[in-house]
Amino acid sequence: MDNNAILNVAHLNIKFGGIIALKDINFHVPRASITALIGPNGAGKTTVFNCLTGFYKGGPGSKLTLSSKNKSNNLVEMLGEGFKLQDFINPPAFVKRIYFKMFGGTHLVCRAGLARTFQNNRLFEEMSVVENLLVAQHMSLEKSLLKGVFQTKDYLESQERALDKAHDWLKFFKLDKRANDIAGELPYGEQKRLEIARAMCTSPELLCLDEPAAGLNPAESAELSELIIRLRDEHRISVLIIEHDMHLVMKIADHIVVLNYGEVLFDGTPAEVRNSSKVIDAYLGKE
Amino acid sequence: MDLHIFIQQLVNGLVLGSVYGLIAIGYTMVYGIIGMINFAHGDVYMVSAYLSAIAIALLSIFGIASAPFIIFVVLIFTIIITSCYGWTIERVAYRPLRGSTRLAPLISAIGMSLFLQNYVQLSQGASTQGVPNLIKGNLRIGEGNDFVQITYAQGFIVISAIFGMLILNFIIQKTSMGRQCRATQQDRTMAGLLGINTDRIISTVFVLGSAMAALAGVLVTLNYGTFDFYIGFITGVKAFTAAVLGGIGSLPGAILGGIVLGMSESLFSGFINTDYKDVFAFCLLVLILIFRPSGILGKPEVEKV
Repeated sequence: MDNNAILNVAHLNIKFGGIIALKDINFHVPRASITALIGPNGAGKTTVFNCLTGFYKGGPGSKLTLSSKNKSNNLVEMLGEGFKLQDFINPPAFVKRIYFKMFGGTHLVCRAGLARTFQNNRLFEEMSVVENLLVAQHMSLEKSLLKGVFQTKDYLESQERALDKAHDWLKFFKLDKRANDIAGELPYGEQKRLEIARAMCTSPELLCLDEPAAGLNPAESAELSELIIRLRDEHRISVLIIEHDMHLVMKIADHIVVLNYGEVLFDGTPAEVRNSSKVIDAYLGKE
Repeated sequence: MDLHIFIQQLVNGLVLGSVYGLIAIGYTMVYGIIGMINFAHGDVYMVSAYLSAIAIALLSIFGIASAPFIIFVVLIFTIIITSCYGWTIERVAYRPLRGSTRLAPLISAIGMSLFLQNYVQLSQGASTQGVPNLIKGNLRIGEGNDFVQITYAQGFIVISAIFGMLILNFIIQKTSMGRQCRATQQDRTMAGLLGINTDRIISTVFVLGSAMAALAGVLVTLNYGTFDFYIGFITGVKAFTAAVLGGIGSLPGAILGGIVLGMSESLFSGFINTDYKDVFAFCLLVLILIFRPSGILGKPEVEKV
């Protein structure tokens, strides 16, 4: 286990019926770096993301540790893992388990500092661009319903701060002219950028991007990779990215994890991956 | 056709319609956010009618006779307690079933509705209850026998219903909580990923819907003065009809549907036949669903390919 890593994935495994989708996955994401997760179709890349955000529950023994916001978060526990036999003789663990069963879930992962995007755009299409970003900042907004109804000073101030932050990110992603447009009416490339902007509004430390460049033209794709590099350098964001566009991956990644048939095939720098015969065999087949 | 009768029926229809609209809001909000019909909602309205009578009785024990003060306290008391009912119903009957089949919470809702009816019948008795008329007097427009009469109670209903709807609309459109509700309605998983506790938002929606039903319950009790444990059923079905008529899932649709339903019902009973007014209301629903399946203001569902 690497202490400098923001995310440690250890012994992650998951089965769907008889199919073993992930088998003992181990890797880590170093802090303030770009890690790419690549592999042929069906290798289990998106499944890893889904385990991180709680759509799937990892099998027994899976450990996902997110070291963010100055503490170490056990994601499996946060997402409400099943009872274990030893819980029944350990009341504190039992209480904790019940707590996370009742109040745990995806939202805690986000609050711990992990944000993700999807392969397909999942914006709130009927809301305006700036509202999409405000939704993501609800934790920093005054939550009291009464304060909202009476528009108290605290509420308006917190709203002002949220708007400022939203505009900063819109500027960063070059969407500031679109602030009041309806999100569903933006062109595809801008929607993709808005998704990342919205994820950034939750103040994450780890950003998980699922095929951000899919469907973008080469110019848009180059612009996006520029933005991802700036996120790492200017904002010290750690990025875990799934991507099929190898030019983009080789250009921006500091570290690449290759998956194949639910196993980690190779783990190393882009140069090492390029020269690895194992990876080439997996992609192109053996000679 | 006499003009004054026509106007009188329109006024009555507006009163009836704003009550339907208030209750329909609860159906439409719950449907919008978790896609289920909360059949217990009509009974939440019935419970609120009993609660308002209890509040009036308690105040009269303390010897308070000022009508505006009584109405104010009764409104606050009923809205708070009914919201607690709404929250509890969601927590007990629906949340444990989240993630199971679509029909499971529906059956649970019917069970909850039967439970509430029987619980009120056992604790309050099966006979019709009544409260004294607190808002007396009326406004007459016209002369001789051709006049339109608006009781102050009716005026109070329409004004408070509009006020309640405006507050709700403000909450949904302008506050952070409302923004979270809208986000959860559009994409629940994505809302969760952005750190929104969707379970809490769903509870909030039940609380808001129940508060609107409570407002309707107090207003109807003040106007008609009598109620029994069974009023929730027919009013609930009518309000549900109003929600479907206006386009289920749409907030302005619920209000519009309520007013359309209330007005057409009272015009029908004023000019044609009182006994068949329910038949007419449901015929209207059938017709609208044939020609506009998504309701008046509802958006047709576009299948994504």
